[in-house]
Amino acid sequence: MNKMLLLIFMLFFSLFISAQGNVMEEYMYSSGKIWVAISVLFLILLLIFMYLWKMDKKIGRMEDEFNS
Amino acid sequence: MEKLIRQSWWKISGILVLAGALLFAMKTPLSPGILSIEKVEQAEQTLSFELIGYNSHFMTSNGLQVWIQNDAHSYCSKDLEIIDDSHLLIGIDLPEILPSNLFSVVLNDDIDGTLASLDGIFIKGNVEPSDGNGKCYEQVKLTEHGYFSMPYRTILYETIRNLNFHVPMWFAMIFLTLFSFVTAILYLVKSDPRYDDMTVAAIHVAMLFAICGLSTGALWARFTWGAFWTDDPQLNGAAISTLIYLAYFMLRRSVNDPDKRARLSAVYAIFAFIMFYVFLKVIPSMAEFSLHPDTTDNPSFKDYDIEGKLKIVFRTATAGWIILSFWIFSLRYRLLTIERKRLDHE
Repeated sequence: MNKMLLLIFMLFFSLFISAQGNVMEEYMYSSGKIWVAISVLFLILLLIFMYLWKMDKKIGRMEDEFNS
Repeated sequence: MEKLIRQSWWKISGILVLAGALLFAMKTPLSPGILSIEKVEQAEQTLSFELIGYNSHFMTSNGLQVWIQNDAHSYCSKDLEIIDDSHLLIGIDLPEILPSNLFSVVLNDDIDGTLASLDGIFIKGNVEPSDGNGKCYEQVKLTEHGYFSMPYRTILYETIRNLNFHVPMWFAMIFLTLFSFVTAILYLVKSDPRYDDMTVAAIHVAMLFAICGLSTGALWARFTWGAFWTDDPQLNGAAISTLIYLAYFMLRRSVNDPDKRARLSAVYAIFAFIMFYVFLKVIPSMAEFSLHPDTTDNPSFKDYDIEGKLKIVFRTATAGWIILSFWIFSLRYRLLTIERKRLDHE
């Protein structure tokens, strides 16, 4: 899971690093930069989702240990 | 139930529904509106002012017309200078004797539709009421702009988006407390400790959402009503019912015997839900004064939302938040179950 977190962070950073001057950057600057706010919101949502997912799996493993 | 909370399809789809609704909640533009009327100047029989629009399209639209009107009279703009998409300079010729001092400013164009600033301008002069009927504008069909948008309301403005964040916190809390109410009854009927765990977990997560609801509500209130905390029956009711539920955990800690603790707290949870309903719904609806929409005689968001545009996004968002809250609840419940099994083991 940590690897996956790292991967997603790298993905995001690579998007912004490689995005200089291209369509992606233009998009983020458009309409009053609302897309930046939306991206922040979605990053938070994604991280909360991943955290809950991780906890879910961990609890699942604990349940399996108890049931076996 | 036990099977459902271990499946992942509803968790993933819940998050996707929430993400979709929040994208719309953030991205949908506000409807155009008249932000303010400024620099009102009056000389002889001419009136000039600056009209500041919000999200309006004065530069690109066609057939722009501006007029001021009261009940029966209207006076159209003589000079109309478009500065940019949201600024207009307007000059209007007035008669010697006015039908009243207070006029609404109305604007119409083919992109923004008809916008009005009700009683937006005060004109000095001699007043003599008359019931003539002078419509100065022609061929104006009062319309709505054509694109998907959030309702434009003065005072609220962009904060109307909070409807998709603040309000679902309470919906999620109501959902979880209703759930705890049912499981508490089930515990008393069946004496199955699993129901006790469910009640505890549901109330615990409901408290998280109550704190989110209270704090976001305070922030929203500061910038629309002017204070973090106001004397609103629904606000105080929400605070009291949150405290009632916090006392549930104190009650549990003060009883050592597990069976007694479960039974006592189940009874308390049932009463707490009834009190919660009374404080959050019944008392605010009986109160004489409330700032919250949809209580007493206040207009609700439904009235702002003539074509039901808000409703679609709001309902989807609420569904997403409720699924998220249920997911957190299920994690909490499963942890309690494991803990109980471990205790039984020892």
